[in-house]
Amino acid sequence: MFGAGRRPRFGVSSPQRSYRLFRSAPGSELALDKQRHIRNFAIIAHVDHGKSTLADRMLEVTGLVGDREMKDQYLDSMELERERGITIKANTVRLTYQAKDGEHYQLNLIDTPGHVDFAYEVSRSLAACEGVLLVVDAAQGVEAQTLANVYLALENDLEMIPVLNKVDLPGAEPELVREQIEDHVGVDCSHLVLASAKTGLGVEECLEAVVKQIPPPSGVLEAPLQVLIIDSWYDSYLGVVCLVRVVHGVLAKRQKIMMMSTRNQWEVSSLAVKAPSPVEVAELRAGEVGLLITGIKDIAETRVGDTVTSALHPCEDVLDGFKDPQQMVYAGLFPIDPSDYDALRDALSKLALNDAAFSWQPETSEALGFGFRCGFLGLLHMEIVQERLEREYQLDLITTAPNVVYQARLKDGSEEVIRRPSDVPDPLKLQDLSEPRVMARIHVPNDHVGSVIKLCEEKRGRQSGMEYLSSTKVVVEYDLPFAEIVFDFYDKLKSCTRGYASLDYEFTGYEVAPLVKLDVLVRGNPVDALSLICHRDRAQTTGQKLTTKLKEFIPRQMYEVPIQAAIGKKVVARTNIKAFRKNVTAKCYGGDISRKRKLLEKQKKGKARMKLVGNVEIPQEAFFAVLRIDE
Amino acid sequence: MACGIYLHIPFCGRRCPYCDFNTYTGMESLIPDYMQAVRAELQLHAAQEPNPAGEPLRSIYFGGGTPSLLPPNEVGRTLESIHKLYGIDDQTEISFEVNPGTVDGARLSAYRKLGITRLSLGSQSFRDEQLAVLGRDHSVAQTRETIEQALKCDFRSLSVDLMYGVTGQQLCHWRADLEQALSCGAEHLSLYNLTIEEGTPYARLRAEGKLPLPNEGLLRDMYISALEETSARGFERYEVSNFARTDHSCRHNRLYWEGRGWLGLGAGAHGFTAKGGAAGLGRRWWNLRLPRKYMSAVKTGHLPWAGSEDLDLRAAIDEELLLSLRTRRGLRRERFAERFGFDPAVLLKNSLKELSEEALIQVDSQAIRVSEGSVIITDYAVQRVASLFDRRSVWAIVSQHAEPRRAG
Repeated sequence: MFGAGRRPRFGVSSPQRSYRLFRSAPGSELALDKQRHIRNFAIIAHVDHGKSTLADRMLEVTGLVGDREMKDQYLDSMELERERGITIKANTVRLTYQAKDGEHYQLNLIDTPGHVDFAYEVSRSLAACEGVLLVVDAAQGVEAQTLANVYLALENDLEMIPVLNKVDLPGAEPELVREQIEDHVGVDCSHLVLASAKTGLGVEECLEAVVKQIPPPSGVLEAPLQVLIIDSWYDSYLGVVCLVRVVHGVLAKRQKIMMMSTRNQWEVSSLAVKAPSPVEVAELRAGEVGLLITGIKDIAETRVGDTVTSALHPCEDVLDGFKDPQQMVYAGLFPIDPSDYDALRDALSKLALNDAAFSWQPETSEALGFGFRCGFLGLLHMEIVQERLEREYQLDLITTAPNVVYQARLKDGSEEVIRRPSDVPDPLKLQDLSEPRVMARIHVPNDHVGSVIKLCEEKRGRQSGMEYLSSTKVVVEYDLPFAEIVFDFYDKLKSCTRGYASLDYEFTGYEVAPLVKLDVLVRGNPVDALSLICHRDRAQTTGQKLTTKLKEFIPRQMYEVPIQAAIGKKVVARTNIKAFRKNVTAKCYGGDISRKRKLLEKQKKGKARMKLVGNVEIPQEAFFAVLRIDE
Repeated sequence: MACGIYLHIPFCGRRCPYCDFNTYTGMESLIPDYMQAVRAELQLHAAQEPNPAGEPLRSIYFGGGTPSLLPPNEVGRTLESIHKLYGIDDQTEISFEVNPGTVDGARLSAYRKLGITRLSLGSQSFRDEQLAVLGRDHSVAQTRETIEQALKCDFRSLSVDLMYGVTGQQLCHWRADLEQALSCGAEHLSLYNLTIEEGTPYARLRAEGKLPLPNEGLLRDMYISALEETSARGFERYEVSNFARTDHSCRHNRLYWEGRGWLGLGAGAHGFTAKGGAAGLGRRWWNLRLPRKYMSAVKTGHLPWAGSEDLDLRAAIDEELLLSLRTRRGLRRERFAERFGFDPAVLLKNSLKELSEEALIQVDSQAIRVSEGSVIITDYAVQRVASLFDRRSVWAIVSQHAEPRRAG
């Protein structure tokens, strides 16, 4: 995603830095216009099975990126993606490949995220493809997201080419994994490619397989223009940029276009493909994937999944769009400095331009003041949004503990959606509360099955199935409350299986449960942002653990700070943070200064992210304490 | 340009169990060679400074260790060298640390004649039991004798040190000590809370649970009584632990707290070049600690540095806050703006207002300072103020303001 992550820092403008918009097109090479020479494909894989590395190698083999420019995870342009070694946003690049048949092909490679939080991005990317490379680690075998991704590919009716990656590893068992893919995933392995993205083995074979096995796009050049918006984002230099797939017709520069959903008309100001830096092209024809720039400033105008057509000769039908992404967890975001409220709102609206998957609406907390309640796909997604807000917009935020969405039924028969604990209705009016449940599929070596079952039972799970993938690998299926798995479940799963388990889940529905709201009082004042919803039987233990944890995170203050956990008026746990009486360094002379400064650096750490609630400083960690009560 | 010189005299007759200064016992025989090295080091600095004799020095400080082990002739030769290279005038404060019992009236009188203006006495307590607990080498009687002799010599200022928070010390003991110090004729008091420093015998005892110390509540009461008593007797608390009658505050210490440059001479001495360093925001440097290593390094004609640190913007601001907020004058807004390109009281107006409402700090047209009632929690106040700069929104503006200044 060019542009993203390179946003200028707040208030800093740097005239020297010219945005190298487009290279001029080198001509014929990119103008491979014969539709039968186009292949649109994605690489799908479980996280860490080598997807981004394989993409890197393809870029090298096709000569798009020289050795000198090559850096790992080339397509992950966001600073965060590189740091975390993950792909967050789908990305696309056009490769020109001369196949063994002597002909040149235009390969549009769409790199997709691997984390379960971003399955939504994957499904959108797949809508632009005719086929996928299904990459499976030859040592680890089929994992949860392998399967999840295969289902997505099947939904989109895509050709699948299985690729066994990392076959050079000593632990690789290509035969066994091949069997797993054929028997349990149901993908034909007669054209299996053995590869090692690390050494470059099999990379050419992958490209050949793409050319030979994936069909060319089937659009009609002469038909009325139909263009699918796969993704859109805001770039501060270009305005809104859309990643599009031309389904039928030809999209040309200067053409008058219309957005089907709004009927608004625009002019195409430029078209480009990424190769991998943006290169301007005169037109995008049926079957091609590229970037559309119109000068639109309002991202709402370019809704992902919308159909773009010609203003003069509009098409009749809209293309199938995408399902709206489902926000699974909600958290409050509050500026530490209340005067940053407007800046936070601007930042959220700008960030939303690049990330259609999170939602936000104003929220008021008695403790934290004005902020926003934001919905995220999952915890990783939340962390990423928070980090981007802080890095790219220089905001200092307090994020409250995330929670899932509950449903409340009231005695008068009405229903309410509960997006934060403080919204739980008065017990006198409340009939019952329902919590979301998921079906979790856990892939695990059979010697760890016992600990997985134990963990799931602890988390209020109900086993619904168990299947052997091979003599050593098992798929365990559990029906679990989503609230129990959204936070630390994955980490616990990893640690109780020595990292061997993998997890995928899907939302199944709501179910009534004996849930209560646990409030936290700091110095006698309820702090709404610390409230949580938990199972009645665990309320007391949770309250005790939480108050103990809060004591650890809330620093000593000028006065004593009692902390209580309560259900309604009943206090179920309490603890005390003692006041400090004296806090001043005795001596600070010439030779002490460096040392004292380093001490200060240590002491003030975390203080920048601290909110004053009724005269008590509460640091960010305290708001997340509930996520760490089992540590 | 250095405003002052600190000379470190690392020799002691005995090492106190709480002390973590760079000091050595049984090495007194090195003194003549050591002092020669100090003067040689001075020459090296003078050779590097473009105009060493620009303005006379504001301060010279003989610290230790036990400077009073120095024979007057060594002191004299050293001061002569300094005068020749850097300039001393009648405004220059020349301080000298003295341990009771190491000097007689004649020695003190000799120091005075050589130009020493200020005596700082390591008295620590006016109670013999407490001196014993502290492992001090002198008695209360010797302290009194030294004070009497010093007063006779008519130094411009006499300072005495006291320590509180010592094992076995009660509030009444401390009050009595304070009374003695306030009425002994000294114009300056340094009142220190005993601090357990890593690597000292005290730290080992503490770790073994063999060193009971007063609890925080008692320490608080001790400090508060110090604040009250000194103020009632006409001493101004010009820094957390330093109290002086009008015009008797220590100029040398103020150099440190006001971010001025000074040369640190001698083994393990620290120096500061105010506008030095890569960012022009100052360079801290420190000498080799071992006297023999220090001496042989000087002989090679190179500065005997063990290390240095160039302050970047964040470090420079942290230090400015850390140091200035310990003083009663506080952070001078104008001076801060000159150095960093912005006035924190303007930039952080709202946040500072919150801290004022908590009664942690006070802001007026001149300065930001820790409010009187919160001096006892100065570290906390400094942390709160310093953390404001860590906010991303603030730092983005701060670094922007500072950028062009550094380039210029």
